[in-house]
Amino acid sequence: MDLIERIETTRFLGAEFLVWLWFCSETFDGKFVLDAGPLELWLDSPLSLESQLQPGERIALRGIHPSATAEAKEALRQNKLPTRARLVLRTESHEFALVLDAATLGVSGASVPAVLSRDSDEAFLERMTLLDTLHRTLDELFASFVRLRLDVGWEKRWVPAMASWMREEPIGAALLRGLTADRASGGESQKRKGAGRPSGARPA
Amino acid sequence: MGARRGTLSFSRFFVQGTPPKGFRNKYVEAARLRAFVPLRPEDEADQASGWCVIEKVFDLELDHEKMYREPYLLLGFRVDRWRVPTSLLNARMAEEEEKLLARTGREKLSRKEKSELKQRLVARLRTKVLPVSKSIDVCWDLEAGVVRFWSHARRVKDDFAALFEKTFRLELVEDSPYAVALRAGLSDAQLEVLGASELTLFSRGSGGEGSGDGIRRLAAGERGGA
Repeated sequence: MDLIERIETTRFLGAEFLVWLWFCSETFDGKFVLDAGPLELWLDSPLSLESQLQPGERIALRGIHPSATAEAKEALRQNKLPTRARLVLRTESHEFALVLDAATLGVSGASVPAVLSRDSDEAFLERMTLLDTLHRTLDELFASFVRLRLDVGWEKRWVPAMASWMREEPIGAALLRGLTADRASGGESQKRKGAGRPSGARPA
Repeated sequence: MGARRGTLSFSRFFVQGTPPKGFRNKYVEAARLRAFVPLRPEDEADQASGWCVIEKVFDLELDHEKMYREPYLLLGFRVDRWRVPTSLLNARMAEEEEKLLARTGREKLSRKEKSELKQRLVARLRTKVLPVSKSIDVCWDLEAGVVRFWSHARRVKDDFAALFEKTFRLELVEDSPYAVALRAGLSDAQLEVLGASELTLFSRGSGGEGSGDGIRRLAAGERGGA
């Protein structure tokens, strides 16, 4: 399978990534620990979901915290996954917001902290540095998701837990402990197998 | 809008390979060779694209100073398009058709005649309107091998990637879940597994009333048909 084909056949990973972020933001109070430090993340408006089975079936939610609405959870139960979502990411020093497209990971309408430099060249470099920080953060989160997804714990723990969460049922204590351990290791078993640029998100 | 100010909506591309030794001057020359060439009314093409100075859509004088802000290479991807108003074209077409029919004493024109007439009219009307010009910011981080391009339009992105590859002789891979995974330090075996992975279904059945064990996986090939 060539690279282009792999890219095309795995675009659904972007939608799974968004639903994983959503799940973590609600189950773990939106707290992540990245290499660069702690991060708080939540989903905001707008939020679009589309059936991965029947691509025409979609729903767009706006308003305050659409991810917390009954419609959003109902859509998830119907196997609709997020295709576009506004994410807010707050680190110790910065707050970013952006709309992330699941299939392309394209960024729209991003807001970054105000640039302080007056000189236009310095302001440009500062702006680029902020965008680099934003992308590094997103890439690190995605790498954590992918490592967890490749681990045996994905099917054993994450999928059942996320299914319970979608049904708005409580997640069992043992399962929750398993998820916490998975996050703490940041997909450690996979990292050991891999070439390993360690950058896993861990629980706060 | 773009790299220096305005809306932060962009696509990301990963550059495959590294620039050759002494690339800075070579890249200025390469970009000059593919600088934007304005459209002419008599040309068949209804669109043209090429490089310009970033944020200066009409500045085609590319040089080292305008292109580099270390570690970035900055360019504008200029696209000009003829936009002859359809209503004007249709009105003129009807007028010309009538004249031609009256002159030849016929009742209707053939498809070929209509097409030729339309071509002539478009060329004539192009002399009366200006092409629509726009420039999209391109910001290449030479150290990281990452290009940010301030557009999400499919056709524009494809045209940009083709011009970039012709100019700098380096391939681009557009951002995507798999492209990011490639940079996540995974082993070849893990990438193999990921590349063959299938959509996770969290709820059984399209009705969605998933049960506790209601998890199944669907082959990518089945998607859309379930």
